[in-house]
Amino acid sequence: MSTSLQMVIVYTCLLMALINLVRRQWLVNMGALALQYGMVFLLLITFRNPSLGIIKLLVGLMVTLVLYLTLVSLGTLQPLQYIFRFSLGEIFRGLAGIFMIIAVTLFTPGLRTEVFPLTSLPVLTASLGLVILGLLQLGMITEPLYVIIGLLTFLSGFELLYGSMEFSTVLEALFAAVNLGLALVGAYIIVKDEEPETR
Amino acid sequence: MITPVLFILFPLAVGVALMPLARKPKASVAIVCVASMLLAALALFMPDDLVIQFAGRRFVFSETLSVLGRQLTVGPEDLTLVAWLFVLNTLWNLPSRSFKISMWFNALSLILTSLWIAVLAVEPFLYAALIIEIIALLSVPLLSPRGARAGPGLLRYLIFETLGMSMILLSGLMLSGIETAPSASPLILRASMLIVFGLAIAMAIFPLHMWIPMLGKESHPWVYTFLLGMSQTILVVFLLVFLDRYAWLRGLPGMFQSLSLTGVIMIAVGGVFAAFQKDLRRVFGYVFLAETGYAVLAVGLSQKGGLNDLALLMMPRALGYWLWGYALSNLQEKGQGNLVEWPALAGEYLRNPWISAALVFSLLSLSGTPLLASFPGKRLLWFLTPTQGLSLLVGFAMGVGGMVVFILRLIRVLIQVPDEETYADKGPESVGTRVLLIAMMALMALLGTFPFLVLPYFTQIFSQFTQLLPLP
Repeated sequence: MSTSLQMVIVYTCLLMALINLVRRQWLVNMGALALQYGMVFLLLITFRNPSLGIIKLLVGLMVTLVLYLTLVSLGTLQPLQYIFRFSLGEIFRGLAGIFMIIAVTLFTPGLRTEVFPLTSLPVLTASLGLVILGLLQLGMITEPLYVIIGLLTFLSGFELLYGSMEFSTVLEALFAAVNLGLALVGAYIIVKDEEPETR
Repeated sequence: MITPVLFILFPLAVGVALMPLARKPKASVAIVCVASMLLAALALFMPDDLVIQFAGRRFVFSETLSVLGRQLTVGPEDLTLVAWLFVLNTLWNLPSRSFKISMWFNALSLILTSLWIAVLAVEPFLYAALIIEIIALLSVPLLSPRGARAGPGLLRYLIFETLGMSMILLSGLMLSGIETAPSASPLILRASMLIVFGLAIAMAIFPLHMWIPMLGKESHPWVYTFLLGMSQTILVVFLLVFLDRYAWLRGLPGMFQSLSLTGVIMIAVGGVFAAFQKDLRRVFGYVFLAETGYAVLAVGLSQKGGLNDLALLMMPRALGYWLWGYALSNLQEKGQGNLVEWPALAGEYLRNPWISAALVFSLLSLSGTPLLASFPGKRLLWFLTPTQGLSLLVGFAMGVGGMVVFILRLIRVLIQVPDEETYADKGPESVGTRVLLIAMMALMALLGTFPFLVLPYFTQIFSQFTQLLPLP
């Protein structure tokens, strides 16, 4: 895969994370999350066997599906709005996210030379971008669904970075367990208000 | 037979098998308590060569289990701590069904105990960070059961544990192959920063502790004291593992002085913040902060014998948490959540004298009052601290002073003349509750008066950290 194609994938991935940071429309968020996992998979197979990389894609899609089905079961998914009107909060988050993506793009080459020489530039840009956008999401929002999406975004960036430096089957299994656990915890937190305590 | 199978996989399997029995509380409690006590006894009485003679047969245990190239190791040096964790699990499970907590408590508590042991047993031990994250995820149904909204404390807890995990893991990656490099190497410095921040986040070191009082207000005191008590015990040992294993981490300039200073700051902050609280659920968060401070201080003083003091404090601290959790849980459930704040607490001593006495008693013990359980360990720490600078005593004074102010405020509100209306509609504490409270208070007084009876056994827990023991 050429570097320019990889950079297209990187910025598509970061755009999805940015959408999740900015928009508060659950259907859009689920779509963006699934697409983000797809892009992470495409970056992952630049340095790892696709048969191993696909595990992360499957886990990511399962995570998205768990959250999506939870929202569907609660009947809280609203139809898509095709006319975008941005609130002040969305504009602020969007600008903060864009600023961070620019900062990551500018600082990554130097950081790569100094700290992560084994990681390719596109992979490092994507992973740091996801980590920072995830952190931004965690710092700006207290709604459980978005906190979980923020944590998943942070983790997918971190896993991409970690995976570019080391591969371990046990670690992959534990990461998969953490991702699925986060999705289940997210689903639990979202639905538990709807169900009475059973004891 | 293999010790990790016995002390990690077996309780894990029992916990998972108990999940379908969640609606049969008596059976769940009985199975968890019996399993925990058996495992505790086995860990406590297992000889150092891991060979047991029983009924004419000889059982030889191996200490390592390999899983996909990684090891789980529970050696003879770990068994005292393993036994203590199972004892704690029993203590918290025994009266658990008298409280309205999650129906998964019994099964999950056993699973969590086995995972905490796995945290210490896994090699390479940086993998423990991921297990800690899984523990955090499994704790969510206990901390926030159905029927109540998830508060910001719970979400912050998840966030902080995830951040801590990632930092510890990344530091491990940076360290691979350079364990013996000099402390001045840039790689080592980066890895040290990541380890220090990762552990600080995971242990809720000041100022990263804000989620603790928040979570205290959102969760049931019984569950909260159990989870925090367990995590504190293990994470302190986890910190010692890092310090013992990496010479460069120990060799960083001012490392132990910084730990001592951090510990004293936490003691001061915990005491001062506690002094102003009006909600007993939040107070425990600050008590926990101060206790973490004492543990970090003891680690900072490890090369002057601080680990012995840390060992002496393990049991009194856990018993103090138990007593506080039990008394507060009773109070909370009697008043349906209203009796744990000022001014609703007014006159509580007249209605529930033993619960009120237990609240004060547990705080007095945790503060290090003479003749109570924590006194022997804390007295030694107080005497040891000036060796790293007299200014640290100011922090001590602030912390202890703050806690004393809170205890006096608590006593004052408990003995105030109550409003007649609120007085009328609350029943007295049960005989069973009184018996348990009195027994625990008596045990804590006994430990404070005769510390040499039990406490020296705990010093064995830290004997494996040979690099941190004082030089002869």
